[in-house]
Formats: sequence, C-alpha cells, structure tokens
Amino acid sequence: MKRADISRLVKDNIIIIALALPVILLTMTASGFMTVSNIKNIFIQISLYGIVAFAMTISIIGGEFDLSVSSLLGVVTILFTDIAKRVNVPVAILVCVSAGIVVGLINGFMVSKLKINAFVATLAMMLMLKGFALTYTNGRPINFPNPALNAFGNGDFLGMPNITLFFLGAFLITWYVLRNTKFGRNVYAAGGNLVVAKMVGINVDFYKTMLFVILGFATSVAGVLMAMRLSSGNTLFGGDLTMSVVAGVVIGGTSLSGGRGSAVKTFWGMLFIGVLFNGLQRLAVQANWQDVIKGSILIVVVSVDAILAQKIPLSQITTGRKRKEQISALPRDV
Amino acid sequence: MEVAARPKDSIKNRIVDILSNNAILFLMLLLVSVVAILYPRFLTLANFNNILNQISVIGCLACGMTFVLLIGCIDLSVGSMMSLIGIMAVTVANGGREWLAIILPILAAGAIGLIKGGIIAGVNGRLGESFITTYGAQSVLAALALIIQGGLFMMVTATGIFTRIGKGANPAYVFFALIVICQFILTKTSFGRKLLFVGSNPKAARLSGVNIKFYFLMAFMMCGLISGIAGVLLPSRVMSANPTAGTNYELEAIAACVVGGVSMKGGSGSFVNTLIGVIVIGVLSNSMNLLGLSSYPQMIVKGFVIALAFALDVVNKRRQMQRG
Amino acid sequence: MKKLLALILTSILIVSCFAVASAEAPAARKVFFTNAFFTAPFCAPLNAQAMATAAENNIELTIVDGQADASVQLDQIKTAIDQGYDGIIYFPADAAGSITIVNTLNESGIAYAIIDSKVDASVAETIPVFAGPDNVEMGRVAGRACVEQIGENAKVVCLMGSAGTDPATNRQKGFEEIISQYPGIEILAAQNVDGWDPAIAMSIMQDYITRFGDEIEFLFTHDDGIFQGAQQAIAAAGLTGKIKAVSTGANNVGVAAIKSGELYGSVLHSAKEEGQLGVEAVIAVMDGEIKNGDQEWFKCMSPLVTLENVAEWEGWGW
Repeated sequence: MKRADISRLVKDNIIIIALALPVILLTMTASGFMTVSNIKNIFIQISLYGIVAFAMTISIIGGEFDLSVSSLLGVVTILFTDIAKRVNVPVAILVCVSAGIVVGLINGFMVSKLKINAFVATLAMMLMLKGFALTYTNGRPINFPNPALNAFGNGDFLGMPNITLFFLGAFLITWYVLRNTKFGRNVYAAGGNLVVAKMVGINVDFYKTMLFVILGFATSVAGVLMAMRLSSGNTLFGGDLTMSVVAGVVIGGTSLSGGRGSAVKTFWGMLFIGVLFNGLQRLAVQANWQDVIKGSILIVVVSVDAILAQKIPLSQITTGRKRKEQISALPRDV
Repeated sequence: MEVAARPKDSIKNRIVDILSNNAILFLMLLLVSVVAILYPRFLTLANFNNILNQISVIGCLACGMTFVLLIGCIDLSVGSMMSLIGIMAVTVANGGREWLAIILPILAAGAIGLIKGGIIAGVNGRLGESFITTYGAQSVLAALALIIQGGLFMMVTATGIFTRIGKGANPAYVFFALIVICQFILTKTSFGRKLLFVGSNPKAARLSGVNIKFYFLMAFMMCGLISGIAGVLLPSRVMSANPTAGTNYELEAIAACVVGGVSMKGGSGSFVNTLIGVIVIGVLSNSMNLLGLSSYPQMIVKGFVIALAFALDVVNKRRQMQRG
Repeated sequence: MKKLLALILTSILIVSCFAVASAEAPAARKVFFTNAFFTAPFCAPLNAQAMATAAENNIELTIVDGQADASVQLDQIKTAIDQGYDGIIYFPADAAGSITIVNTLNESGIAYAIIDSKVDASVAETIPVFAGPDNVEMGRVAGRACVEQIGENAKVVCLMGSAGTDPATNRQKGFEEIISQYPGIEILAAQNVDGWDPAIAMSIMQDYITRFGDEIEFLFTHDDGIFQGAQQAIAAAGLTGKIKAVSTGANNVGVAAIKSGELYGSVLHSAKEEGQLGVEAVIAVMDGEIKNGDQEWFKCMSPLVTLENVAEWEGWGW
C-alpha cells in the first residue's frame, strides 16, 4: 500500500475515526456510556431524523435541497392524530403518506418545471405548510392517547427499538438504491454535472422531481412514527429537522455541491451527532454552551470538508490543463 | 415574416412587458385598493408612518442580506446577530454611554461579519458552504446573546440619543439612506460592478484577475455592519432587548429580497429590488393585520407570495428569452 | 488531516467539560431539569432560582434546554433515567406531547415533578405534583380589574401569548369568562403574539390603533414584555392614559410601567417562586412525602399588583 493510498483511506473514512475518539473518551470518563441501554438511547434519538437524513442524502447527491421537511413533519403528526381520532389508523397512515408524496410532487414540479430555485420553492412551501397546520389547529397540539400505537412507537422487537428498525431499513434501502441501481447512478450523474447528465440523455426533470417525492415520503413515515411515539401531533415537532439532518449528512462527508456521498457516510454522520448530543448531556454541559459547541463543530467540519472536497477532485483530474478548465467552466447547480 | 410580425405585437407586447416586469407591484396595488375600500383608515398618513416604522428594521436586515445574496451566498445568522447586538447595545446604553452604544455594537457586528466572510472565502464556499457555516454561526451567536446577560429581558433605561434613533420616522430614514448608499456603491463604483461579477461567475472573475476572496470578505462585512445597524434600531424602537428577539428574522429578510427579485444564484439583483420586496411584504403584513387575519393564515399568504413572485420572474425571463 | 485535528480538539473539549463536572462534591442528590422554554427571558430567573434552591438543599441540579419540543424532551428524560438521577423536574413544551413522557416517568419509578404548564388530561391523574400558577385564575383577576377600571360598557383589545401554549390559552379563557358576564363589554380583537415578542406586539398594536382609532378603551396583555412593546405604539399615537391596560407577570418591566402610570396593574406570575416551588416539589417526591397519583398542586400566588401594593410585591417577579 502506498502512502498516498493510506492517506486517501484515512480521508475517506475520517468520520469513523472522528467518531471513535469521543466514543473511547466518553467510555473512559462518563460512567454508563458504553451500556446496552445507553447505546439503545442514542439510536432511538437519531432514528426518526435518520430516516429523513437518508432521503436527504439522495437529494443532496442529486444536487437539490429541501427546507420544507421540518414543516412537513409537523403537518404529518397533526394529520395523523386528527384523522386517527376521527376515522381510523390505517386511513390516517394512508392520508399522511399520500400527503408527503403530494408535497414532494409539488416541490419537484416547482423546481424542475417552473425552474424556481429549490431554496426559494421549499422556503415558500415551508411557510405554507406551517401556516396551514397552525390555521387548521389554531396553534393547539392534538393529543391521541392510544396505548397500542404508543407501545409500537416506543417498543422493541428482538431487543431492537421498532423505530430503529425503520432507521436501519431506510439505511439499507438507500444504500442499495444508490449503489446498485440505475436510478442511483443517474442521481449521482444529475447531481455531479447537470449539463453532462442532460447530454447523455438522462431525464433530469424526472430525477429532480423524484428526489423531492422520496423526501416527502420519508418525512411522512418519520412523522407518523413520531406521532405514535409521542401520542400527539404538534406543528412545532421537527422544528430543527432540516438543519439537524443536513448537518448529519454533511458531517458524514456527503458533499453539498452534489454528485458525491453515500448512505454509509450519513449513517456515521448521524451516529456522530447522536453520540455528541448524548455525551454533552451525560457530561452535564450547560445548555447555552452546548449550542456554542454544536455550532462550532458544524463550522469546523464544513470548512474542512469544503477544503478537502476541493483538493480531492483536482488531484484526480490529471489529464492536463485543458480538461480541468473544461470541467470547471461547466455550471454547478447548487 | 419576422419583420412583419413585429409591429403587430409590439403594442400588445409592450403592455404585457410593463405588466409582467412589475407584476408584483401591480398585485400589491390591487391589494392596497381592496384594503383601502374595506378600511378607509388604511390610506392615512398615520398608517403610512406605521408601515414605514414596521418595515425599517427588517428592511435594514434585508439590505445587508442583499450583499451576501449578490455574491451567491446566504447568511442565516443575521437574526441571532441582531439579538446579540441588541443586548450589547442596551448594556452599554444603560451604562450611560449612548453614542458608544450605537457605534460599538455596529463595529462588533462588522467584525463578526468579517470572520464569517473569512471562513467562507477561506474555503472558497458558495451557497452550500455559507448555508451550513452561517447556520453554525447562528447557533453560536444565539447562545452568546443568552450568555452575556444571563438570558434576561432588558429594559432601556437610557434617555438620550439611543432612545430616539428608533422612534417615529427615524428608522425609515436610516433604511432609505442605506438603500441609496448601497445602490450607489453597487451601480456607480468599480467595487459594486466587480461584486456582481464575482457573484455571477466567481471562476471567470478569478481568471480575469479579480481578488475574489476580498469581495467575499467585504460582502459579509457589509452584511454584518448593516445587520448591526438593525440590531441597534430594534431595541431603540421597542425600548427593550430580548436575547431571542432576532429569531427567524433571517428568513423574513431573505423572503423580502427574493420577492423583490434578488436572485439566489448570485450576481443578479439590486437594492431597488430589495426595497420593492421589503415594501411588498410590509404592506402585505399591515393589510392582513388590518383585515384581522391572525398570524397563521398570514404565513400561508406569505409563502404563496414568495412562490408567486419567483414563478412570475421565471416566466417573465423565459418569455423574454423566447423573443430574443 | 485538519478535520482529524479539529475533532481531536473537540473531544478534548468534551473531556475537559467532564473534568469540571466531576470535580464537584459527591454525596449530593442529583436532579435533572428539562426546561422546554430554556431561552425565554421568563426562564432566566426561574433557572437561577431553581439552582439556588437546589444548592440550599444539597442538590446537584442539571438544567437542559428542551427546545420547546416534546420529542427532544422525551430523549433527554430517557437518557436522564438511564444515567440514574434521583429526581426529574419536567417543564412540558405542550400538554398533548406530555402523554408519552409522563408514562415513561411513571414506568421508570423515578421521583418527578411537573412545573409551569399542565400535562394532558389523559395522564393528569397519574402525576405526583404540579408546581405552577393557575392561569385561568390569573385571567379572571385581570378580567375583574378590567371591569373595575372601565365599567360595564367598553371596548377591549387583547394581545395574547404564543398560540397553543398553556398560559396563552388559559389566561384568555379566564379573562373572557369574566368579560362574558357583562354584555356591554366588547372584545374588538384578540391576536396571538408569536414568541411573546415585544416587537411583534408593537406592530400589532399599531395596526389595532389604525383599525379602531380611539375606540379602544382597554388593553389586556398576556405578558409585561408584550405590554412594553404595545406601549411604544400607544405612546407614539399619543394615547397614553386614554387606553387603560392590565397585564400579567408583574416583573421588573411591569412594575416600572405601573410606577410610571402607563399600566394600571399586572397579575403576578413569579418566575422565582415557580423555580423554588419546582425544586421543593421534587424534593417532597424524592423524600416519599408525595406519591405518584397524588396530584398535589404547589400553586404560585397571583395577586393583582397595582400602584397601591406595588411596594409589597416588587422583586417577586424578576
């Protein structure tokens, strides 16, 4: 193995090394960190957001971005509790999943057909969804004390929390789709270089729309599970969803400029966030300082990621100056 | 054939052009007339003053945000910056040094902007990097705003100049002055033209010898300085500082810019766009308040207007491109 | 490599935090407090008083930010139970979201107390103790003060707290309960102030004045900060003294306004008292004096503070 190969291996798996350090240190210092119940806790904490994080990974690889998931999650919890109360649970699940897909389709339509910038389109959607849910409920959360559903949302299956099984399922599906299917390859292509993707005949509009549909679907699943877990619906649930999820994806090493990243990276990224939050609480760090630490870590990680991202492709492209210029002249769709 | 077709649709086209170029303004005029019929008090000088007073703080923030958007970035931390600056300003003002309370926080805000710009320039970041970095900064600044005075609500006990700058029409004067100065810098100086160049195509700008890092630094510093001004105006307007006062203001500021027609891709837009956007959103909120609409349906309307403004803009551009 | 370096530094930071934490004296009982509105100005003195009361009783208190999100609070409480705290103080983000959390607390067998906002009716009978104000009663006190001030024929506007929160809902409920007994009193408008933000309150008040002009005779606000914002609009319109006002909170902001005559009165909601009662409540549960299902209420006082008795109550707020 050459020295360069080792250095590349380290760079590619930096998040695992980064994760190992706090884990070792916390195991040594915070009593009860390395226990089955605490590890379970960490996984429970990241499971629901994690489901959305994998969908967001696909979307960021495909070069798009969605601010509206945070509002959608709240809307889904409201819809689920309200309909489950008035009609029944299967109908509620059906309506919620359809709502997620419809919101995704509208976002996708705005971005791919109306050519509205994804940030603006999903910002508008975020406001509209939140306004809709708050108007509908007049700002009041809805309670739904149903012991069976609550037991499902908080229960275990073969020692694994149910919601963590959903998280692992989402991970495996995303991993498989991105790695082994034509769809996955085309998402990488569309996010990596829009112009080239169009030239080789990929239906870019379809893929862009699908990114939002997948996100809508994943968010609705997470929303239904959250409503079951908390026995209630609230517009404010998931207020920090978008940012936590994007942070997890980026910390894992998926590039915000599109075309690069993987489900495995996001898995480690979310786990890093879970360990960090759990560790900060276990060490009883004062709440305001927790925010300072979290914010600083985000800035550092993204900065370093951006620097590394610039260095790797340049060293890969060794076919001369002309090619480099050609590639850099192509527009990048952020 | 093409020549023959021209004169025929030119009159029609000209009207369509005027309408579509200013679609959002015409929609606003429509809204104003409807509200004025329902509430004659809408068209009074007093209400006009109210609207100016209500939009000025957000207006200043949007003005700073425009610099960052023009260069192709975004700053999500201006809201928490405003909270932090407000607490700093009131702390100093209550200590008796009122001029210092105005100048010092604004300079501090400029310095914070410079740091953010330094990070973005250092990593050659654009929209994506600035999005995450300034989100991190938001979390840090919001926490600092809570830490420095223990999270308390602060009353303004000063009685001099600091309490006057936010009263009556003063914030509006500050806002309009900022728009005029910034528009002048953007259109009449080489700094402004290069800023737009860097925003529209940083790589081309670098190849043609522009020091692009300098422009990223300056854009974020201007954004910092101007959000510092907003941060000083706010406590003076409401006579108190709340450590969470600026929460979500950044999204309002971005919405105003976007509605006015500043592009999120960088390099396109001006402070006149920002002015239009701020006025449209301000008049919209004021009318909805007068119509007795609670803040929740207002959110739906705002979201719809943002999407509509952008869609109109895109349709308009496409139409113009088709006609060449 | 820089990333690695950065993360090593982070880890060192985390460990050094622990070093500080572990240096404290052992022996003390440990209590965990998840505060849903940690960053609200009201909670700054509440947190401080809770810390002070805990220290007096040889209790090591850890306060975390519940981020107004039941999901976050559930995770925090599960971790805290796992960590083996002796007691938990729970400040619910909202009633509906408290169901799972209260069930989790009951199942774990840990000693706990609810403060400030009530839990959902479906689990209310299982809790040991609630420390907080009677928001409906606070609204009633304000309603009576309103009638006393403006008589039985008047026009009123209200600026309410963030929608969906327990105080906003119940203060308005109590207020309207009294007002509805007088058909001559009309509520012209009542709007929620998002995030209890004085700047938003000011804008809404400006628009009320445009809409109703000098018809407005009375203003009821759910918080002194909201009143403080609204007062700027009233003063700018030259209506100080013409619009009578009653607020809730009676903190430093309210007391100053009462002294200057801008505000007739404010119904006390003492953050300090609430912080102290919360800690005392959890101690009573840890000592076995109160058991789950007892539904004790450590009630905060809610007198109307006016110019007459302001000296007596000054400093109870914050």
